Amino acid sequence: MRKSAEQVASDLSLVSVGVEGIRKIGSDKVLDLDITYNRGDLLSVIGVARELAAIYELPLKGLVEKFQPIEHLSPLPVKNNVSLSKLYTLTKISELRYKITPKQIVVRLEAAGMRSVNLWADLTNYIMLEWGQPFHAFDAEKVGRRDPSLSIEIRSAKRGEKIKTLDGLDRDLIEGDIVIADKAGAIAIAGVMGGEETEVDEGTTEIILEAAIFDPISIRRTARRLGLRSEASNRFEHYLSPDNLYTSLNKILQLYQVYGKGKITGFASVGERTTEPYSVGLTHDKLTRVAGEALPLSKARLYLERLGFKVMSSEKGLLCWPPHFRGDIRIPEDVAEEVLRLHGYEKILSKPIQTTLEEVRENRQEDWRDRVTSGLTGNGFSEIKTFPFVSTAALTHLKTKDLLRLKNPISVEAEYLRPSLLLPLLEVAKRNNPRYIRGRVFELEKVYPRSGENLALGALIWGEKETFLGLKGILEELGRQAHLKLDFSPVKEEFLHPVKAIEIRVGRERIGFLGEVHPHLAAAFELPEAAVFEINFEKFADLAQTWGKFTPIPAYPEIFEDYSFLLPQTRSLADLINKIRSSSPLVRELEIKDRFETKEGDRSVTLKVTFQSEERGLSSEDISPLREKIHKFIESVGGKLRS
Amino acid sequence: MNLVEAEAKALEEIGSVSSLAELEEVRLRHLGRNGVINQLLSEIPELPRQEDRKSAGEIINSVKEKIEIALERKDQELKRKDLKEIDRSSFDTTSPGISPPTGSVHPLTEFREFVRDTFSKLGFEEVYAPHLEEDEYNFGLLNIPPDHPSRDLWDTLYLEDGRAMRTHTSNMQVREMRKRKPPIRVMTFDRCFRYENVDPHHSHTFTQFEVLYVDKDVSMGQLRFLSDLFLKAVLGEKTKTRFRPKYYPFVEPGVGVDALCPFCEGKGCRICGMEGWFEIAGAGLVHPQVLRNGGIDPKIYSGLAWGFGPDRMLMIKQGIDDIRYFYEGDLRFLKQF
Repeated sequence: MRKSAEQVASDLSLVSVGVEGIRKIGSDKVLDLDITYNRGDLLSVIGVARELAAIYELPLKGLVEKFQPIEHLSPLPVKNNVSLSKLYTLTKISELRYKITPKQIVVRLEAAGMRSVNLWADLTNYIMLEWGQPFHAFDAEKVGRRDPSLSIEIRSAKRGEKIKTLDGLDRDLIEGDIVIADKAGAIAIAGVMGGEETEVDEGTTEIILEAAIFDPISIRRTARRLGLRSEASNRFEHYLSPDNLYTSLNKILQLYQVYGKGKITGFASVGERTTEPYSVGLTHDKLTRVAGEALPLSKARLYLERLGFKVMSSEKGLLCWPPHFRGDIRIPEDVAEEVLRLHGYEKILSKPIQTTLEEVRENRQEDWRDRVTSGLTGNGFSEIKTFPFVSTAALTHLKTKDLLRLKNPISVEAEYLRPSLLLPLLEVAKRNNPRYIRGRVFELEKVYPRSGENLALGALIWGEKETFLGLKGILEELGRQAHLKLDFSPVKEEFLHPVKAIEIRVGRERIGFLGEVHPHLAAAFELPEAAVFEINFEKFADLAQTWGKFTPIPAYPEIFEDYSFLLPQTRSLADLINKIRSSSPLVRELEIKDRFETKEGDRSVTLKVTFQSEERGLSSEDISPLREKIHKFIESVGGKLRS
Repeated sequence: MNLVEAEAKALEEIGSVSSLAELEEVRLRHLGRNGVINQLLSEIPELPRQEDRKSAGEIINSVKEKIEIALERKDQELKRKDLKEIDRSSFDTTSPGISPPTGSVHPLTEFREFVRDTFSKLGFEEVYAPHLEEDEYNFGLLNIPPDHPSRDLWDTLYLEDGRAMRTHTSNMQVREMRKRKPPIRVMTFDRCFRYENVDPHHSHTFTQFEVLYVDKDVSMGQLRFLSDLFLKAVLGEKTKTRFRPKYYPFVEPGVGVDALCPFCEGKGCRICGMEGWFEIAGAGLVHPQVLRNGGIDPKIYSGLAWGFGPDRMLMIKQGIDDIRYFYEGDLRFLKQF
């Protein structure tokens, strides 16, 4: 059966693992696979061949190797700790004669992204690529110079222990690193890199070849800490099979004999010789529950057997023994997945969700998020989304210690988590400012003060006339939508204008601030006049009322009167308005009809007051005393009536 | 002022007005409540004799009538003149309308609303989980123990206090399972973070959408149903989905969900990188250990988890070539939406 590389790539990606690409090397094509953690068995040519044999229902030829008995050879002294190395073997190969690595092996190594070093090392890499089992070759003579007894020990590194690795660098080891050591000290960092002192080279005539299975977690930790992740360490991080180790060891010893003319003269092994077979049961019910449809067990059995499982039918279903190289099969769901992917995921039929209806809880935060977003965008605001980080430099503007710092920041630009939306808003305004001379932006996203992350709403306008009052009006409108009475009082914040700054409260609860951006801060961001507010949106949504209350509209006609006056900025217009509003039950509405700054720099205000009774029509006799009263109020707060 | 003078003055004023507004002022001055005519009429009751009162009334009313006629004539005349002026005026109706303030909703928010609508019709409830998360919820309880090699799938940002910035929205899974009883149908659309340099295709801050459904008899069939339903809604009726094996430690089986490229319908084009398919979502049946971690008995219940990256999906759908546009606040980008 012949398949194109493209067909194989497509089939592998639908049944096994992703294919990142197909490269052409000479007349060959190389598939680059994206191996997932669970499929360490596919980190080898043989592993992929097994998989393809299962997909295409082909027999796998030439895999059953007769293992040459080597146990009778003179034993090597090895001390292993099985918690560090499940299986550790050493084989001594003597009387080697060096020659250069055959071209085909070099080409294949290079196709896999590895470079040729010397024959002795190349053979270890070559067999690793073929079988997935890493090897390490020590120069026996060099080891013997250090420790004539050649007694090898696998142990945890000692505090302060050092080793010079193959790349010529001195490495500091810590407890928990696994090392291979002789009596004189460490000769290799297990699974990660060998030591320079015992390195094989063209002059090597005797090798101690290591084939082992180390503790994956320890290997990973050490390789990461030293920045020495390699093809070998990657394989050690995955499940390795003792059976596979012996088969590949047999294979590599053949190559040392064929290409290096060596003789095998010693052997030692400590640890688990073979994987104890275990079974996982798969009931028909389980398979059906995973697939969503009934699949005959007889079919499932065939798929599993193609994948190398031993399968026995029982009353309850199938009893499955995974092949030795599949360390990832542990539970019935794992077996079901094997069945389904061979069966073909494309055959899985869509099955509608059938369930009982449950009450869906009201989601106030979500509701208000929608309302506020449409309210603000309707008022000309553009919604922005910005990164959660702030730089140390930007923080100098904020002068706050209420910060969470990252342990491993990506850069100094992103060292802290933002405690508020102020800086991102200013940065966005700065980015847009010369292009947009005025703008309105808002963000509704998380902020991360020390007290706890929360959803914040921040808005900023720049380049408009009256930014403070303009933005305050927007906020008041949000308050009206939420049927909330917002209270304001002056506040001092480093980043806000010394005078034009207020805190926002609902009753006693402070929910945020609003103010003109401090002129110096605006200048630092190259902005014209700008105003900003930020509120704790979770509090706002909690307090907001969805349903307003209807106030009956009186049937009797209204009377409108305008009051124009000058009022200094030192006097509170809000207080005056409240005073007028509560002066008589006949004052029904009050609106700022006009306000401007006169040529002389005074604040001129025109209030339109609506008088109305719920019981009768009003006459001029009703109004004139009220008019008197209002005039007095205006004068009493320092207002000057204009005729 | 006597009546004769009042009449003469009124007629003179009417003669000299040139606008309807002025005419109304004149009318009020002369015929209004405080006008001369009304004043004179109000003085009639003070005349001692009945016949004087009668004749005075008649005389005043005849003057009033004359003024009214003059007003009416002037009114007609002015309206005619006004109409002519309106007719003669010119206005460029092709001039573009005055723009209301134009805001814009962020594309990710628009998408969020769309996704939420689609899934809330199926009874999924929106939930949130912390961005700054305990290692347990982000990893441990999802079958990803510390130092486990599978952690390499996620390059994680950590805080000095030991918490992680969540690497996926899946940290909501065990939290929600512990809070609820099956059937559980929840969804989340929120931010996640990874240790990653920002470039046109990568960002340390990105968005994920994820649903979790736990019930009796949840199977791969329903995973297919949700995938089809959603991807058709986003990419159009012509799209198809396919599953490929994919590994996530917290699901078993785990699948990658591909969508047929809506631009070339599978033939292969530049947008899908000649593949014909887009890898669009990750999914699987919730691992029994994760169910147990959530306090749910896997012998009775099963679950599915399904998620995708809205940033990437929008980039495909809207032809956006750089993920950074979403997070930089450039109004030239935002105002297009």
